[in-house]
Amino acid sequence: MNPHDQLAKLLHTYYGYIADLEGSAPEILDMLFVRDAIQSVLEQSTPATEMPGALDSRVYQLDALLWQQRSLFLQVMGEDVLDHARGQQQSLRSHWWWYMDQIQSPIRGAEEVPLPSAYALVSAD
Amino acid sequence: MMPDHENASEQTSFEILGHLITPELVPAIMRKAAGIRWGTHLLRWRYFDVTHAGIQVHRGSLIPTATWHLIKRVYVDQDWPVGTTLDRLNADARATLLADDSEIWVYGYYRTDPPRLQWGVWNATTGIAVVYDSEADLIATVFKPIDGSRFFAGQISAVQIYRPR
Repeated sequence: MNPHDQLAKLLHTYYGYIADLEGSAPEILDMLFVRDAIQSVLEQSTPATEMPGALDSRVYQLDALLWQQRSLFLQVMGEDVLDHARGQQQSLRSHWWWYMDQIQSPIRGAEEVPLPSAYALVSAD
Repeated sequence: MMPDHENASEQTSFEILGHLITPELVPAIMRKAAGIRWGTHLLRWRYFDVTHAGIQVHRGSLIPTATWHLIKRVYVDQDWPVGTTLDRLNADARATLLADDSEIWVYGYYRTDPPRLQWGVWNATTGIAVVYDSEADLIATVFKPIDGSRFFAGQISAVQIYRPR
């Protein structure tokens, strides 16, 4: 799978979690691994494999949507579970999705930007 | 880095969340789980409209738990092909639970009070994971975790069950 298709596939899975955090409860830890994988694809992209702006924008919008729902995420995940899993991963601080119980705002303006619903982020596919 | 979950490879029996896990219990649990019972309650479909097997599922509608999982795996995660039936998904779950080469994990699900015991089974060949709630005798989910057994290793109190070859 090329990086573009890989990212598109990962974004579908990421969307699947964010659009229904409650329904995803038994699997919610996987969402953090999926976000790690998205980051890995983004960091490995080169000028030759540069991601289309639409995918970049979708990552940003899904991130912002997750951030706006962080209270629900922490409730579904459980702060003890997050702390435990984070301790195992030794995740980079820059991977803010592992630290949603500790940080103030990872995305500049995430609170103010009016977002499309999660539905709108994939409905055009 | 060594994971800090426990590995029960040297243990014969152990206790977790007040449950005694014995070597005899594990295959019995797997056989019971392989009956594949989904919850009978309804879940709200919060994704896009889907037409599956000629039936339209509209965003916001309430659908049976098993159907919810099936169409999420096919149309949202896209980890099962279009056309997958519930029988096929259940057969995949059953095969995962009964395969000799599947990893078996047991851990606490701390979203409930008191926490519940959950069993996680993951097969490296297919990438399929099954989560089974033995107290309710229900399948909690069937999916493909992106990092395989790290999903289970990251759970609180996770213990991997040793399976003699």
